[in-house]
Amino acid sequence: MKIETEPTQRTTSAEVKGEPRSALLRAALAAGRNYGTVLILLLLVVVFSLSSDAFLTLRNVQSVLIVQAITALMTFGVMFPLIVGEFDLSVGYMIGFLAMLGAFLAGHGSGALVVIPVMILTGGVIGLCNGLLTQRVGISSFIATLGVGIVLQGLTQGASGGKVLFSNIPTVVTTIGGSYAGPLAISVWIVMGFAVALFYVLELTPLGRSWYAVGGSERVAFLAGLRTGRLKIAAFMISGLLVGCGSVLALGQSGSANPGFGPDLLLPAYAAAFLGVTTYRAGRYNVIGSVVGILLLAVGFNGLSLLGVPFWVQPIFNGGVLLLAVIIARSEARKVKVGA
Amino acid sequence: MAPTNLHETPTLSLDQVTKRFGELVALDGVSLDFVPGQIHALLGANGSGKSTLVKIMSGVYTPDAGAIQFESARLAAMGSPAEAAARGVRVVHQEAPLIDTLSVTEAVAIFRGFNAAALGPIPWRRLRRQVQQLLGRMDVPIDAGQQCNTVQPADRAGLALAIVVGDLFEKSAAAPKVKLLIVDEVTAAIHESETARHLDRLRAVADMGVAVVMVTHRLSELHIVDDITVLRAGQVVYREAGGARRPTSELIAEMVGPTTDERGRTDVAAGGGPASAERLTRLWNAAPTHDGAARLTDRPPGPSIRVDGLSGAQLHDCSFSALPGEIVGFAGLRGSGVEELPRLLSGDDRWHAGQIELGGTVLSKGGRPRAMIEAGLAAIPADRLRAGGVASLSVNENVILPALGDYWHKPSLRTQVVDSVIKAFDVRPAKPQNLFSTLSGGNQQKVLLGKWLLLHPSVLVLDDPTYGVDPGARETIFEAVEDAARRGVCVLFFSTEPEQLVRICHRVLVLRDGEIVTELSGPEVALESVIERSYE
Repeated sequence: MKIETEPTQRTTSAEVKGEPRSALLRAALAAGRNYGTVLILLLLVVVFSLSSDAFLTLRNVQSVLIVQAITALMTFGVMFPLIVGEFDLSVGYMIGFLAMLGAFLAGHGSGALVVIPVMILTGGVIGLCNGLLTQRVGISSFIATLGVGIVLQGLTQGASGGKVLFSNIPTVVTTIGGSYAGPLAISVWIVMGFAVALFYVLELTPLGRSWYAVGGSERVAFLAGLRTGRLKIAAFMISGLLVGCGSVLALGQSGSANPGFGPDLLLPAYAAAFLGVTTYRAGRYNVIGSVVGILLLAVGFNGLSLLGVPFWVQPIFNGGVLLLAVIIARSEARKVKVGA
Repeated sequence: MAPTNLHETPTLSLDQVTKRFGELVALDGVSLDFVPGQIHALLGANGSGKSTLVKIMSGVYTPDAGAIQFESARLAAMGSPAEAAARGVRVVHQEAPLIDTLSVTEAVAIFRGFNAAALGPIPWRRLRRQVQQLLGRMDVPIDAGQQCNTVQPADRAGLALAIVVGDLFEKSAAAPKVKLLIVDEVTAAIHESETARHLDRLRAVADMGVAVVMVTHRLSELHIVDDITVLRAGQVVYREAGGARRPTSELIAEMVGPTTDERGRTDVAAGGGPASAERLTRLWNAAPTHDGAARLTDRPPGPSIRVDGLSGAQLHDCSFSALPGEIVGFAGLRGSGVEELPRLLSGDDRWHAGQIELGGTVLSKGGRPRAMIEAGLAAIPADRLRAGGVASLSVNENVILPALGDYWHKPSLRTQVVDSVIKAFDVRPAKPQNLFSTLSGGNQQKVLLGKWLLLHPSVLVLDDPTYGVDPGARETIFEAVEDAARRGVCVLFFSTEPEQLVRICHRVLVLRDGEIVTELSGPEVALESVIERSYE
């Protein structure tokens, strides 16, 4: 009996060389498959530049990037559980809670040296809880992280007392969130630093390969002697730490903590991560793809607002782009089961 | 020319039916009759064409040549499974089609209908009464209200049968008729002591005028059947209609055919030349040194593995040991423990009692795969795609998965090692970046063999390594296994195909009902003896 395999293999440059007649066509197809999202992004940039004078200005580019810094860290955060085949639905509530926690501590007299580490480390601890609940207690991550998220939402409300907290936010935090260093905002530099570091870990270290192996087949990884449970818990912890860093940026950018902040960031983060699957390493969640996904959604948002389209066109654009990108790369998407 | 039961018209007759898959001839001019009221046993080794025959009768496959006479109709094929079912063909498969989270009543109703009027509610009380009645008639001692996952294996088989032949008890004229019942190795999952009740059920169905076809591996069940047909290599080699039984040993001889094992042995001896033996040396020289490798060279004298009183879900009190360089085969039927033992050895499942000693390391509680690997044991599981390799990763990444840390920041070593695996085992296409899932079964198995032999294990456990593997790759795998043994690796070879065991093994242990019942060594390792000890 022959085991059927899907013809999902990427066209490699070696194969392109092997068949010179259709080389150009095949290369174009390969690029379309792996970099279709990049092409859409470039197309949008060109269209918006031509149709709006305000689009391609330093000021606008700066504001697009700074707005996306938080989404980017959230996207990186959800990517790790996704890579190991799990979901983390708590990230939206978590960022709201951590920002509120920071504001609460600051309001009670803590300085930046306390506030920032506590926010980040608490994120890590919440991630650890998510990991333990799914791996040691054995609850499905979908339910466990949703439960943790709802608990966090309650804590956010409790800490805020229903009000926006804005007193005594440390200057270090607001500087990190809102100031510029050179042409880019500090928070954008931070995100770029994270992108490089995470790319290195995921693509070039045994740890990264182990995570992808666990996501590809937990059983095979287990039989190969990997500590699959610990690897998954670590993925949840990294998710929490990244959301913790995102919460510092969020608190700094707005200079206050709003009890309603957070949950709205969940879906954009997942949308960007899913878009990322269609780019660079097609079929896998990856850093470069996620960055392209974030930029695509951001440019779409910004360009459409500059053109003055009604507010309700925005979600239609975002959802449409996500579906389109996944359909274009559907063979890859089927392999990873995007969003399943 | 119907040789059997001339006094009764067969329900279904096959006339010179042939079925090919590519170059493989699965069935070669098979003619058979299935008569109402009789139980007809189909015997044959794996790959003899039994399941192809079943699929033709149930409408899954269309024969390439020949005809099917079903009652008064002469057909080229049964059409589709739905068409075959409409004509009265029913099939019971090995696995009972039960949804564990439903009640028995619901599980039956999914197949037999909920009896609700259009837009009306389900008449639960009446339905449950009907299901209970059906269970009573089929002698299945379970409650219609109980949850399916609480039904014991023996009763699951009865329940599956009740679902399929329930139409027999419908009184209305509109109810579909059951003419031909095919049971495909349903007793394999049942303990031998519990099969009698199930065989009685089959007899009861036959007595209602149904032609029953029973595919089985258990020759001890043959006393209840009326007709026996033995298939070998797609042909009917023996047929018996009622009357006196031939002894079991003669039936086995028919299944096995003329001395294929002798031929197989010489093939291997010719293949494993010194040239191919060098590839492992090259492989091990390329790979970074490992705990397992160190253990192999400074190994204390004595057996590579000693298993003492091992017990699991199926196995009880299983003990054996094996020496370096030995290839030990394990044979047995489904349910004998031959599927479980490799999973215990690899650390995939935990064992309840006993211990495993690997070159000085004693593992007394169920070991995790990591512990087994560190003790020098590598295992290639039977399920290649789900347990063997990561389908969504590349060949390259799969090969180095158990030793990721060794290749960190040594990309050239990694390339060299993966290339040497691809060369040593002739993986095609020879492209390390290809996804594992895009390789053929044989090439996937070569990659996995490389992945584990690379660690230079002292014990290599192979679970059905040639399942779904083409003949060319099969030879490569056999050669590599023999090379490894010559270099001192102790190989434990599990297979449901005794033909493979006798080709390659120095010793064969036969498992039955969770225990090692026989050890065959030297000249005793012959196909007939292995089959005879496993069956029965």
